[in-house]
Amino acid sequence: MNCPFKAAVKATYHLWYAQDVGQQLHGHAVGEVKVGTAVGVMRDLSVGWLLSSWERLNGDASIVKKVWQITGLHAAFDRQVQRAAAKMRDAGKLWRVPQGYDAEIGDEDEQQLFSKGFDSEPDEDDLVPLA
Amino acid sequence: MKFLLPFLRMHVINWDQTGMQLVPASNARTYHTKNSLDVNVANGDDKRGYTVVLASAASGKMLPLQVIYGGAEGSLRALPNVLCRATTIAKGFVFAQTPTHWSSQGNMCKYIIGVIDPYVKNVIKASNGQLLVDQKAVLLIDCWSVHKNEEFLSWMKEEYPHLIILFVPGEPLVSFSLRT
Repeated sequence: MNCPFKAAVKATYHLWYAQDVGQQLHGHAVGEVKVGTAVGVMRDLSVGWLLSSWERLNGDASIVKKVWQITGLHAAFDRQVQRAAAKMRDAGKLWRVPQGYDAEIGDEDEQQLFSKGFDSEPDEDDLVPLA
Repeated sequence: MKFLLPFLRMHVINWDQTGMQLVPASNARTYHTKNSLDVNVANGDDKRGYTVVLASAASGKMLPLQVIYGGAEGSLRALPNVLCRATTIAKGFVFAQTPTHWSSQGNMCKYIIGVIDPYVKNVIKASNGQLLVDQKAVLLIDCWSVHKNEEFLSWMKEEYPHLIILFVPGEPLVSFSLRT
């Protein structure tokens, strides 16, 4: 998400910069235009840029879903991938998370996480693509 | 199960820290003389940077941000004006301050307490009983040393046993696919 978010912040910044310069050009010579970029000023302004960029991305779920799709993380919701992973797990071929964090996840928990409804037919919602 | 899946997608969360510049000017284009070897960028040094923790759920929703500014710990002088922060705090944003503006273990804990946990609880509440009260959520995070820190993981296991951490490769994530 870093890339689209940074692009959104940059776009918001350029908009602010252009508006500031545009306002100063009314009644001032071009040489007199000065944009204040002191740390304090920029820090306060950055909050507004972050908020508007966040709202922009949050208002369009398709961007976030697309990022999940590009990274391949959305495949975890794919029934076929889940079945393949379950088979690999049963065959002991599934790569385990290092440091043993999940080592203490009980069989019951693992059952809930991975195998709930595996043998049933896919639901309608499962067939709806993420993006 | 038909209506459960959208809620479960809300419970799969990925986050990452990213460095930002107070002046996010583009480094790709300049009005300097053509073919110049070096072009200094004003206000581009790291002292004018800050860190943002960005999280999103598989449902397409973005979680509130954690914003970390550079300044001495214990004081709030490096944070933006209270009035500027007020609107964002109402949206759930969390602000922090560290000497280097980089995220730290303490800030990760604050992020879990201030953003992740309330979000997970809100989703459970919004599901109107479709999700269990202790429904597990999956956190997909990169292998940053703080994320893999024994102390942090022990704290997570103790305080938030319903939040399951799974590590994903950082840089090659773009080409990473569960299908392969």
